[in-house]
Amino acid sequence: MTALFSVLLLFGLGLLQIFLPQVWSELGRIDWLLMYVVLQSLRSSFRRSILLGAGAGLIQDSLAGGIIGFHAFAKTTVAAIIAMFSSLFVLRGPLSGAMITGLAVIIEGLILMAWQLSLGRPASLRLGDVSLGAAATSAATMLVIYAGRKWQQRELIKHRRVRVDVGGTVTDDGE
Amino acid sequence: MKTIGRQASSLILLIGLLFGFFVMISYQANRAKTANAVEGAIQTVASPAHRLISELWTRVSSGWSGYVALTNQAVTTDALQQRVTYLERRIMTLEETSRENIRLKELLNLQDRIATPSIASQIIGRDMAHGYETFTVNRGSRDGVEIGSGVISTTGIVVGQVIQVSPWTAMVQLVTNPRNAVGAKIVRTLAHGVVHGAGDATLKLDYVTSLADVKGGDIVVTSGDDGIYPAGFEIGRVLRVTEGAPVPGLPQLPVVRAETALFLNIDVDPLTNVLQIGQVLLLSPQMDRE
Repeated sequence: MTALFSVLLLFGLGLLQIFLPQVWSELGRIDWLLMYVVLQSLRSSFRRSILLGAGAGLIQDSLAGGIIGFHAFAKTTVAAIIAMFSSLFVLRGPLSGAMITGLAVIIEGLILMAWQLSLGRPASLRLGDVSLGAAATSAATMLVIYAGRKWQQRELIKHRRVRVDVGGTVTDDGE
Repeated sequence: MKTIGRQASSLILLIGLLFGFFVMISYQANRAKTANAVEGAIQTVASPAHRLISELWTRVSSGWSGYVALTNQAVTTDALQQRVTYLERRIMTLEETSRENIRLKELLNLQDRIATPSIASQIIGRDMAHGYETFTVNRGSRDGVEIGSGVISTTGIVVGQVIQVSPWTAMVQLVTNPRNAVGAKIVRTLAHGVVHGAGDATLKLDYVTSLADVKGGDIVVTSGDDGIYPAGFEIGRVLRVTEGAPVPGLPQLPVVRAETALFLNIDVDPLTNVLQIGQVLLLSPQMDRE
C-alpha cells in the first residue's frame, strides 16, 4: 500500500514537474521528485531509498521523453548517498532540509553533466543552471518543510485537547 | 550477521540498478530514439493525466489570453474614442476657420469694392437683454470709429448704426430698432422713403407716396440721402404694401389711393440676421459727408 502510494505520489510530482514550467518557465527549475526522494531517504532504509530514487528517475525519464536511465541513474546515486550518510544529517528544520536538498541537486546535476560529457552530447545543463536549480529546489523544500511542521503542530494541538481521564471517560477541554 | 547480509544485498541492489541504468543509457545513446516497453507503459499510464492537465491549462491560458486581449481591446477602444473626439473637435475648429476665412475674404472684397473708407471689425458681444437690437464690435475711437458710423455686413447688407464709442469698442444699434432710420429707395421704381425698425423683427418703409409703384418682393436699398450710408446697400425686401392713413378731412376712397392717403404703409423684411454674422464693416461718416 505504501509502495503504491509512493508510486502514485511520484507520478503526481512528475506531472507537476512537467506542468509547472507551462505556468512559469522558472518553476521548472524545482526538482520536486528529487525533493521527495531526499526527504524520504533521510528517514528511510538504504534499500527503500535507492528503490525510490530509481523509481523517481525512471518516471522522470519516461515523462520527459529522454534517455531512459539518465535521471534514474543520477537519482539512484543521490538517494544512495543521502541514505548512506543520513545518520550524519540532522534534519532540525526547514533550513537544514533546504541545504541537504540543494546539495542533492548539485550532486545530481554534476552526475548528469558527467553523463552528457561522456556521451559526447552537447551539454544542455550548465553549472549556472545547476546552481539555480539547487537554489529553487532548496527554497521549495524550505517552504514544504515549514508548511509540514505547521500542519503537524496544529494536529498535535488538536490531539492534546482531547484528555483521557483515568476513569475511562473522554472529555474535551473546550466543554 | 543478518544485518551485514542485508547491507550487502542492498549494495548489490544498488550496483545492479546503477549497472542496469548504465547499460540502458549506453544502449540508447547511439540509437535512434524509440519508445521502449517501460517507457511506453509509463507514458500510457501517464498520458490521460498529462492530456487532462494540458487541456485544462490550455483552456485556462486561452481564457486568460482572451480576457487580457479583451482588456487591451477596451483600452484601445477608449484611446480611439478619445482620438475620435479630439479629431471631431479639430474638424469643427477647421470648419469654423474655413467659414471665417470665407467671411473675411468677402469682407476684403467688399472693402475693395466700396468707395467709402471702412473699418473691418469683429462682433464681440450681443445684447441679449434687448432682443439682440444692439451688439458690440472690437473697434473703437482709437481705430477711427465715430458715433453715427453706418454698419454693413460682409455681403453689403445694412446692419445698423454706431450709437456709442469707447476707445477700443463700439456699440451698434441694429436697423430693426425703431429709433434707427435709414434713407432708402425701391430699386425697381426708385421711390424714396425712410426705413426704420417696426419694433419687432421687421422694418417699415415710410414716406413713400401713395402714387409710387411698390409691390411685395421689391428690393429696398440705401438711397444715400441720410449721409450715413452710401447709396446702393441692400436693406430688405418688401413684405406687403397697404394704404396709409387717410388725409384728414377727405373721405376714404380705397379705389383712388392718391386721393385718400399721402403715403403707403410698407412692411420690409430685413435681409440681415445679426445672429448669423460675425464680421462687419464700419463706414466712415465724415468721408461720406465729404
